[in-house]
Amino acid sequence: MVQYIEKLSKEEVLNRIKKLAEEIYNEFSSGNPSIKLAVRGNIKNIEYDEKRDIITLKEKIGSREFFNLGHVRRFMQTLLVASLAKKLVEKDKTASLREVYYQLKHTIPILNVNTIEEQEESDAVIEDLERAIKAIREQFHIKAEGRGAIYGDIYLRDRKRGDEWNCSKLGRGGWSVPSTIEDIEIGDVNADFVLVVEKEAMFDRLIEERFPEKQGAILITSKGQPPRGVRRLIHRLRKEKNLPVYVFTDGDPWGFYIYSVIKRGSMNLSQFSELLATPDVKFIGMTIDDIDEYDLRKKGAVIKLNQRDIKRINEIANYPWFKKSKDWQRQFRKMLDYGIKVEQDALAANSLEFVAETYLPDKLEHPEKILS
Amino acid sequence: MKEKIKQNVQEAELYKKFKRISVAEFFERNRHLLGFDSPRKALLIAVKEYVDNSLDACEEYKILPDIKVEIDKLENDVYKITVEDNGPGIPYESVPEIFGSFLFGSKFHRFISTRGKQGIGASAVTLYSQLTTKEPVEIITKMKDKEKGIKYKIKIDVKTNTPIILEKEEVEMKKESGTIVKAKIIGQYIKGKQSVDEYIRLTALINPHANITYKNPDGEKFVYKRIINEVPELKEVKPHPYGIELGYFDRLIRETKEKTLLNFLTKTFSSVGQNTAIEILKKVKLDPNMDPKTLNDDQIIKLYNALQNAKLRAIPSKYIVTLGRDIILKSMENILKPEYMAATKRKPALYRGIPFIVEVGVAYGGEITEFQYYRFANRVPLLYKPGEDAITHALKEINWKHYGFEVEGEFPKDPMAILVHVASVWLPFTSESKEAIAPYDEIVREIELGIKNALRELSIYIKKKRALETIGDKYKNLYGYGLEVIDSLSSILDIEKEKVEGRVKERIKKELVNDIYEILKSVREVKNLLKEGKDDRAVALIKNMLKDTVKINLLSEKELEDMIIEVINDVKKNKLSLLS
Repeated sequence: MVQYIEKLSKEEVLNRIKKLAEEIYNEFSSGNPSIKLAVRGNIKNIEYDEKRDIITLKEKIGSREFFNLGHVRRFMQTLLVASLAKKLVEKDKTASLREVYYQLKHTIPILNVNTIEEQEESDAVIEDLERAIKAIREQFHIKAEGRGAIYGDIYLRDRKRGDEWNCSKLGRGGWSVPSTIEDIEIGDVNADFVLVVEKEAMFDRLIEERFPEKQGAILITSKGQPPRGVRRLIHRLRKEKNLPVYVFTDGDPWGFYIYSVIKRGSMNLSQFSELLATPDVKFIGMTIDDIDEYDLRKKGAVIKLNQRDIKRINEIANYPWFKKSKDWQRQFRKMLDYGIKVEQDALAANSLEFVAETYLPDKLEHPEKILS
Repeated sequence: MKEKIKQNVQEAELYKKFKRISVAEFFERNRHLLGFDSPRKALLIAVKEYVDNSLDACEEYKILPDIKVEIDKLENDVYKITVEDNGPGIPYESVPEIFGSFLFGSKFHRFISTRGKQGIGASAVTLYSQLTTKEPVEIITKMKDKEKGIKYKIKIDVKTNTPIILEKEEVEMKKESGTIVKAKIIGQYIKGKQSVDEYIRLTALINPHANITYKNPDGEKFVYKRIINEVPELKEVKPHPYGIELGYFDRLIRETKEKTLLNFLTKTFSSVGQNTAIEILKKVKLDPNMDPKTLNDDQIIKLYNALQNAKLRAIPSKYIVTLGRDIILKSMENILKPEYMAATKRKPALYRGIPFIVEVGVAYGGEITEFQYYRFANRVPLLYKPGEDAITHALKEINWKHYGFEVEGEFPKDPMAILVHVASVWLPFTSESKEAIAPYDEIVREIELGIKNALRELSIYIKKKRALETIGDKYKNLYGYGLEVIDSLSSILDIEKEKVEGRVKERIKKELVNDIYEILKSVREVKNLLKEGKDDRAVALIKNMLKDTVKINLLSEKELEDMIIEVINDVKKNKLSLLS
């Protein structure tokens, strides 16, 4: 059985695509042509690997059969993507999800329907191919639009272009993290830790306050739920440079889940957790304790929970990895008791500098205030 | 000679069953009670009265009926109705009474699964005829063993409820026996659900033992040939106390010839034995030996109630005349020409202690183009007042979607006919004109169960059919998407497109062969054609189902045909069990 591996050579990717096609071609002469692929992750078929503290996919193989009328369209689309992926890898070109959609879309004569109607369809099929040949889309040269940024005293190098840069010398915005960083080499780092910030506004605030320079931090923003490129980067910084990583999000169930995804992987991409998750990241805030600690409630800086929040809290509180943690259960209970949540930006209720000069240094000095 | 005596005895018996009550005047003023509320309905009712009488008479004498019905438009709204049968004929002396006075029928006092009304039918037409056209009705009848037939022209003296004979003469008649009745009435001829055309068609449907020819005023001729040669067997049964009304009970007491109350109870009614009768009489403190005619009104009511409350056996259901599953199927096939049918006959059930039997047939597709349901009560089609009818009530209880039908309003959109026949020796109707079966809970439930039984079988067929209907689409999809798959595989593997295409096409054709086996196994029409040795037609039918495969150039017509023939030959040679 092929496995996901960190570094997949061009030849190996092509091999896997060819093998997939070959098997199908053989099945057309005798047998039932089908594409075997690991079933997509959801709460029912994922497993929490307690030892490694990551979410993994229970290896369940599904199949898309040519002779099943419910499958045949998806079967065809998967091969369409495979054939495009082969060309991309051979030509050493990378296409965006949107470009793939336009490359593959055309009308099928006999049926008078399009091979692909909406981009969601091609996006989903790309994920199918990932699970069929056990390679992430970046490895077969398909990328999502980049999102997220990195700032700090760190050298990065583009292996293909030969460029090299320091991420603290690119202006206040830092370097935009692309969807794939497989061609990026991580060079010298002059920092003590990595801080991942949920919101871009907080990222900007900390740069303005010169927090990375003052505290020796590499700053990364995920701009919400972190895209694959950002998760890969965090994973590699931890793995290759042995830097401690802290996550800083809103104090609400959505922020907590961002932390969970960075740490243990997402359900949807649970088959890649080994490549994307960073099990020993720590959660610096916002916690519900912060509300009391920094007196945020009486300043009116908290927000009442709505029905969706409450539902989501109860959901994630029951995920096995949160369930086993007394600290996290206490946070959930407290949040429900208080009936409030708190945003990162709320710290500005004290002063603009408060987060950089008081809140974060205070947390870093008192590891007992940090959750893991 | 012996034959002759028997005939006379029968004649006398027939006559004895006729009794008279004077109500002609009443009906003159209340003609709607007889069903003559509009010219359209009048035309239908007149035909129906005569045809029902003919069918009943034939049945009673075990004659396979040949009935001719003709309606001619004379002028404006005047129509002449002629109904001819090959029945036993009418005792000559009784003709005037039967056609010229009211409540003089033979059915009124009998408990029997016959069609007719309570003896008012024929005279009602006479009355209606003289009210609207001032014309008498004409009757020509001949009995077996009489040399000549007899012809009458008759009207009714409304004041005295007695017949007026305008003409009476002996006539020649070639037939061994039979009756021709002619009436001129004001009516209106229409087409559609409540038309005479429809009534005749449904009468033929529920009487597959009858030959019926019919000519409508437009000159269109319809011939319904008999498809079975058995006359339904009628067995007369004495009335069951649960089924009679107080007024009728009262009359039975006043008219009985029995000299003791005990005999009256045991001889007049079914299901009342010696012991039961004595027990009932004890309860109401009446002497079993007293003369029934001496009972006063209070005693009659008490006795009636005691009978209603007594625990009595039901009338044995063997007296109920039904068609049975096989005959319903045959008749539907003959008249409705559907693509698929199912039928069911329920076990006897009881309402108020009276047994009844529900039979249901469902027919789908073929010449049927829309949803329709046909109501029958004791083998008479019911065309009016569907909303009041137990059958309509039951149909509304059905969850059609559950059986795979598309619903529009209350009923399915699918081309389907549902035939429901409710039979009993004593059916409850919603009114005297007997146009709708009373929706007693027990009856509605039984009808519902019958319909569900029949639908279950039909729904299996329809679901399978839908899957096979889309079989053309299946190959369009496989081949359409297949072409893309061919391109992709050829480009990934660097193999010439033609080579990949050849392989993929072959594999799809293999699948096609499998599906042809499947068609042979499960498509009824194909199976039937093969059983009848009509292989050519079977091949053509399958080819038509799969015509899309040729249209998309998956294979040539010749190739497809060879493929089908090969599968048929293989099945015939090796797996004959597929066809059984």
